[in-house]
Amino acid sequence: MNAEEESKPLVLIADDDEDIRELVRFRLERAGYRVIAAADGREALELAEQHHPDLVLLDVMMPHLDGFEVTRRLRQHESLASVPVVLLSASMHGDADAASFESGANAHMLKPFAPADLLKMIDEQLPGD
Amino acid sequence: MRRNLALQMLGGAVVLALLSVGVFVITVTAIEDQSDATRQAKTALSQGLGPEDRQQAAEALERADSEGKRAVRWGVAGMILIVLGSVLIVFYLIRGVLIPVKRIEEAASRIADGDLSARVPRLSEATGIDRMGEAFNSMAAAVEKASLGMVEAERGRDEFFSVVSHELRTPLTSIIGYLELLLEDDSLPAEQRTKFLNVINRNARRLLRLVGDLLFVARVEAGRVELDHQAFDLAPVIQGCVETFQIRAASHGLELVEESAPLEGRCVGDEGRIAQAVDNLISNAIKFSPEGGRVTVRLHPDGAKRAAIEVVDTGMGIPEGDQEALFSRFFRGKLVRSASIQGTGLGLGIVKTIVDGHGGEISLESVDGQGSTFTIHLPLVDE
Repeated sequence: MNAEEESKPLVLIADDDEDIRELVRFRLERAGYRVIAAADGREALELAEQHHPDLVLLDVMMPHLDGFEVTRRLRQHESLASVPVVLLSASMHGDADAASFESGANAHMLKPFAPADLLKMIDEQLPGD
Repeated sequence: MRRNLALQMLGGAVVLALLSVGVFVITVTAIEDQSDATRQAKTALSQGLGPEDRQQAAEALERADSEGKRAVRWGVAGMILIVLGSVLIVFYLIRGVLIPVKRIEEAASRIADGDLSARVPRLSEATGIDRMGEAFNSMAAAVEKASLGMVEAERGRDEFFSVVSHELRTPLTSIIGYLELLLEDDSLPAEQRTKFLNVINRNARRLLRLVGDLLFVARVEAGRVELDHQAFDLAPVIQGCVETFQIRAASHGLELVEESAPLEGRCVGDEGRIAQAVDNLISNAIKFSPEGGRVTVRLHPDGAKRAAIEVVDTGMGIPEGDQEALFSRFFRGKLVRSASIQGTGLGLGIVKTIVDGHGGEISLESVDGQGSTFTIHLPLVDE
């Protein structure tokens, strides 16, 4: 990995739907991010501990650990407590926003979304260069 | 031992009344005796006082005096008895009526405040009021049960909306997302474009299937499912179902085979719906079988005038605890959910509705971890 690659922000995405995972990965990589992907909450937590991403993008309804729970555990983690977390949810919960912030997430987006809007939200959440 | 409070009270009152009458009779007799003795003394006095008469008068006066004392003693004893009896009756009223009623009142207000588990404590001694407490408790239990049922139904409805929202929005996310990718950039390589279009196509079909399932369930709910009533051969229907899934089975790395025996007789009903039911079973079997597994579909006679359609998979199997709930709507086993297998939990409910509508039955044999066999049994008529 060269120096230029190394400097690109690393985003961890977790979603149990492969099509959505690949959609987000494709769009983010084209926008210049490095991407690692997990298919469930447990895997997401493991990858986060191993790679220390610059931002974490989590689906809410995932097997093993849901997005809220992964966020809570990240917040209790010594070195991951301040990583920006964006939640994606496909369920119609009136209080999804409240639940997201309660769990410690920085932002929340309802599915379906336009990939460009997601990209904008991620840019906003990443600390400026 | 159970005693009737009213009888108890009545008994107490009768005993008290008898005692009062007894005391009254004794007192009145004593007063009469006293008057008698006094009268005798007066007679003796009016007749002049000889030594004998003096003796008589003195005796009569003495008797009158003792009878008077007797009357006073009995009167006082009677009054004490009546007071004691009244105190006893009041004590019984408080213990047997007021306290139990108070407890029922307390339980009722706790229920009114939302504590539906409140009950009247059992009294140490059974009385008539205690039976009222028991009646109250059975009423409270019925109310609690009904209320729990309502909570359960509400939770089911919430879960339904949550699941439906999730199942609608998930494929839409891919459809909209990949379309945007295609629209954003028309310089994408042809191979990539085809790949994206296939994803969109697959997700649109998934959405269509869900909409179809939801509408079917809605029609069942409204009692408006109309089944065709035509005689048809089952063999070509089953063959068609198996063919439809060959590509999907292959893409999952599964072998899908049909092993059928000729039937004597035809099925009467809705060919399209029977195909839908068998499709659902095959689709599940593919979904739940691991790569390298095998799905077998068998059509064969099942005793006289019946056909059996078996769909056998080599999947994870269904734990015994889940088998009963399996055919109810939206049920998804714990394993299924944690293994992240897509689905709404509508499929098997639909299969059962269709099979029931044809006068058939569905059965399941499964060993946890070793695959499942779903069998549809359908009645046949002569050709």
